[in-house]
Amino acid sequence: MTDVDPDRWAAVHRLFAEALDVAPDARAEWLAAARARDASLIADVELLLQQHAQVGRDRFLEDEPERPAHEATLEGQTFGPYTVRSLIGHGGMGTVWMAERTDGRFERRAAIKFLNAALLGQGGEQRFTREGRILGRLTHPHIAQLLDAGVSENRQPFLVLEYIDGVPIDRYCDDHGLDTAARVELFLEVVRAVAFAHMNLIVHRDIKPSNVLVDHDGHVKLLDFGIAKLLQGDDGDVPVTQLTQAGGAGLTPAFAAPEQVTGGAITTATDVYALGVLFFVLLTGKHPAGAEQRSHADLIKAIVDVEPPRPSAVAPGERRSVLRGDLDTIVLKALKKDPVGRYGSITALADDLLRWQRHEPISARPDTVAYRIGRFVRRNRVAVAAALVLLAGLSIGLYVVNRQRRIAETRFQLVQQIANELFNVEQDISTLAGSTTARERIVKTSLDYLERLARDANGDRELQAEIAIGYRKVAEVQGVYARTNLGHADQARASLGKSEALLRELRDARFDPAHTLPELIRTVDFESRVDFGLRDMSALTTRIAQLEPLIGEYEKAAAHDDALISDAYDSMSSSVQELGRLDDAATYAKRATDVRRELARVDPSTVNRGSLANSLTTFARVARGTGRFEEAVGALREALTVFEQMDAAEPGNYRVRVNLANSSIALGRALGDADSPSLGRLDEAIAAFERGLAIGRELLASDAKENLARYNHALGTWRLADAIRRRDPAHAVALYDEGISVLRGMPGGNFSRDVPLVNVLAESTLPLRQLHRDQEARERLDEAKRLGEAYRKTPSQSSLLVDDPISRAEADWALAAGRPADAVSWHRTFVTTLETLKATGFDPRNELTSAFVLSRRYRLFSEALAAAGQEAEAAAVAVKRRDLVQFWKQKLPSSPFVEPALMR
Amino acid sequence: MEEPPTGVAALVSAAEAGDAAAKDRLFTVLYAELHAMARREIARAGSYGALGVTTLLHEAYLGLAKREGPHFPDRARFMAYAARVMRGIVIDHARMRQAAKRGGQFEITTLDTEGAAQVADERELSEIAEALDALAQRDAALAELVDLKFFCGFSFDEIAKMRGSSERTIRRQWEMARVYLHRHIRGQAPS
Repeated sequence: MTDVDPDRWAAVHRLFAEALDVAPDARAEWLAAARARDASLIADVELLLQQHAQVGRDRFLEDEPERPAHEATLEGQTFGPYTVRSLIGHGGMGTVWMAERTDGRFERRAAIKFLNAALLGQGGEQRFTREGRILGRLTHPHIAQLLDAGVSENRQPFLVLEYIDGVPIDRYCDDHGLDTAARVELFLEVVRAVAFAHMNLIVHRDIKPSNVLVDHDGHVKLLDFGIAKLLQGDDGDVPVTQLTQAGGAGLTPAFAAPEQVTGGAITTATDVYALGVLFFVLLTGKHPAGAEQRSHADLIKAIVDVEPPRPSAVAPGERRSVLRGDLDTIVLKALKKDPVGRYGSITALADDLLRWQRHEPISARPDTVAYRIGRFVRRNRVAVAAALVLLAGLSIGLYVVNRQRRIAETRFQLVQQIANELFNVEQDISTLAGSTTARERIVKTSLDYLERLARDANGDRELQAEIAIGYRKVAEVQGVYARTNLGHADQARASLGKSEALLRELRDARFDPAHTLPELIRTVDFESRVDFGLRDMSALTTRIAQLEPLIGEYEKAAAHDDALISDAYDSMSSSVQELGRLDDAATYAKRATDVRRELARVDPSTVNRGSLANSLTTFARVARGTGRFEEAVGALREALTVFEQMDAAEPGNYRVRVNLANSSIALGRALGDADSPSLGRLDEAIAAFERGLAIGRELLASDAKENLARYNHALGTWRLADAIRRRDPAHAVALYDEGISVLRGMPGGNFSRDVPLVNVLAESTLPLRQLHRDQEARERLDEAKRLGEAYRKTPSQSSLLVDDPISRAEADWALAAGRPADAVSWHRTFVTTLETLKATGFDPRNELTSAFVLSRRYRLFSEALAAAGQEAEAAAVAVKRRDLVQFWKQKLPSSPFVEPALMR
Repeated sequence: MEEPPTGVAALVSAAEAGDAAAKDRLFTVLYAELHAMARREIARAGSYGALGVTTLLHEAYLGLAKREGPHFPDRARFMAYAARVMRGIVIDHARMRQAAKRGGQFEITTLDTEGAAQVADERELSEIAEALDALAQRDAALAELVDLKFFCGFSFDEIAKMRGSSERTIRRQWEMARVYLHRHIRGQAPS
């Protein structure tokens, strides 16, 4: 279509748009008519329409890409087999979206409910997973079904619920002008659904018209068990946890029962009350407490103290006679202030409604003498409440006494069981698919036990210590390590917080310091890992500041656990590096390797040697990033020795061979890489690269299609060629060619293959030109540009990776060809882009490798400017370079290598 | 040497006058601006916060317009440039995410060590970007629409309001753009 003239393009476009408006079955007719006007245009339009149908079948551009800052626009995101379509509503808990099942199995709409991420810290996620578990068990025609539950990639927990296209029950009744009998019939469906939930020990606790929808078929669907709470507890002891408090705070006052606003026990009677309110509203169109006109405070007062009127007294005139008598009695019995005075069960309420329908006598009776006494009690609430508190205090005291004896007897079975058995089981099942529910149950059960024990453990130090360890073990399951879903990181943080609080209390009480201190270190270390995982830098800063003196103190202790110390240093190394404390990062990584080296010496098991090699590699990376090249070299040489030993012990282990190749190349880079800061010891670097490349070639020969082998091989040729190209351009070209052919053989069009290929193509032009093979050099540079084009469109971190070799090669060529102005222009563009990108966090003042790239570029830029006669700017750029190097010298005062590396 | 224009407003004017370097620089400046805003938001909210891409763009517009004063381009013109930049950010994000998945920090010369399992996503985005550039040659408004809708996530309604057009028209243009891009990528016979 590129050769189409603009007028024709516009005309075809217009007709296509018109055609889309025509219904498919009328389209043939429309086309025939249009064809009569302009046959050639219509041929194009027909083709477009065919293609449009294909576009629809392919769902082309319908699933939108993930965006960096995402949330408000979940549209198009997929969660499991569901694709989010549009926002349904916001709520206290988060947002609800309409979604479609899009895995092609069957088209089905669903509602996806996302928990507001901000609530995660305050038990919101617990409430959420709790809701998920409860709802999943409930299958009833009048209850919206839970279809799925999970945690998204963005760590957002979500529930997939049956999508209900309906209207609130009160609006439905009014819109359809239902009479009282029809309203009772509809209300009975609600009652049956709630009765079913009660049979499953689930109290809804938030029944209100917006949670009771009526669908197109005129049937009721009950939604949102958001604050439903499982009615269980092995000894009837249902603690008022934070969960229930948060749930209580989230409820809707207008439909709340007195016990909900006064903090009383929530039972099935609570739902009876809410149903009474709903029934009142359906029958009369008014709220029993006159909620419409009241302030929040007045409403709560009315719920607690004001007796509701009889429905027949407030209903519209024509309905009053139907309501008077039995319906009045039924509603008022459901609305009793005292739960005991209400229907004993939802079934009893349903029975009375059925009796009313059949014109039989109902069970409920109008107010009795006993009830009037109740009203007296309510009017003298304060005095009665004081008496109740006294009674309750007594019984709690008795309970605790008994409880402690029971704990003393069962404590070891219980705690040990939690601390060990449960987690062994958890480990066993964690690798099984579909074990999430079981694991969650384990976590939940453990937390329940721990909470109960914690409440009763006051003063029992030993028990407190065990509980603290228990909390930490629960946290491990919830998500300290990468293997666990990050969605649980906040839960883990909460559990660790409890563990830490208990341990600090013990520490303040100087209880068993030899054990308390290492346990505290382990807990705080885990907390720092959670902070690190969440990239919560302010928390991490505080945590590390707490951890450092603790470890210092522990190291001085006569007996200490080396594995704990090395673990803590290892994770602290990553943390402080993230916080920009580069020197400390190197120091800590070194401490970790020192300790692990000793552990491996004493017990040279595979595990110990493996973790030593890992921590040596980590140290080498940190050390290189902090200008400690000699130490990096030492660590890598040692890691190589360890890998060699493992290779000898287990010949042919592919993984070990790959590690050998990688470590050799890493060693070469620390010694004398051309593209990053190094010691500049070229000969040794070349030897290391040659070794890595030899292993790479051998791996490639064993499996030519294996990606790891191909990358290793290409990496080896690239590094070695870079290192030798000045002294032996012909050999360098041969190596580049080897790498190019391997990379060309790999599937292209992706970043991980294309960027190395662009680099190798561009770098190879330098020795090619030395050999006067300019024609080939030009072709390669053009190929590099073509390949790099996709990554260069917008300036970004990835565009720099291809721009650097290309623009350097072009500038070098321009300068050699006597076109210094062109060279200046290439350099200027690159420097401008890199400096602008500082705002994105790509800052050469934070990262030594980027500093090297920029420093080298300043040098080349300055040289080109001088050649172009722009002496003043050349000097200014040289000053910039010096400033950058000075900055790094001050940042890493302990490294004598930073300056030479950056000035190379 | 002539001082190159710096502010967004000046760069937009220069770009619209045909200054290619100014256009590049404009994209760079906007990229940095948007990226920094997104990072701030992520830092503030702990994870991907409540700020969507569209909100981000609106806030960037307000911020820059306030900073640069009365000569700042109108919202629709600004969004056209910003959406083009956002396309790059989205693709970049996909790449970096893949790089991150392959393990560890992204280093300037790091090579991938795992298979190309996840590349389809990124490759497809790159193809779309390429086809969009071709479309922009033919019909810039249509290409812009795809940036706004697909890469930034604006709704048809928002785009219609931005452009002073009807939602129906925008939907029709969207279908046209889809057909064009689909054809470009899947290589069906051109008319």
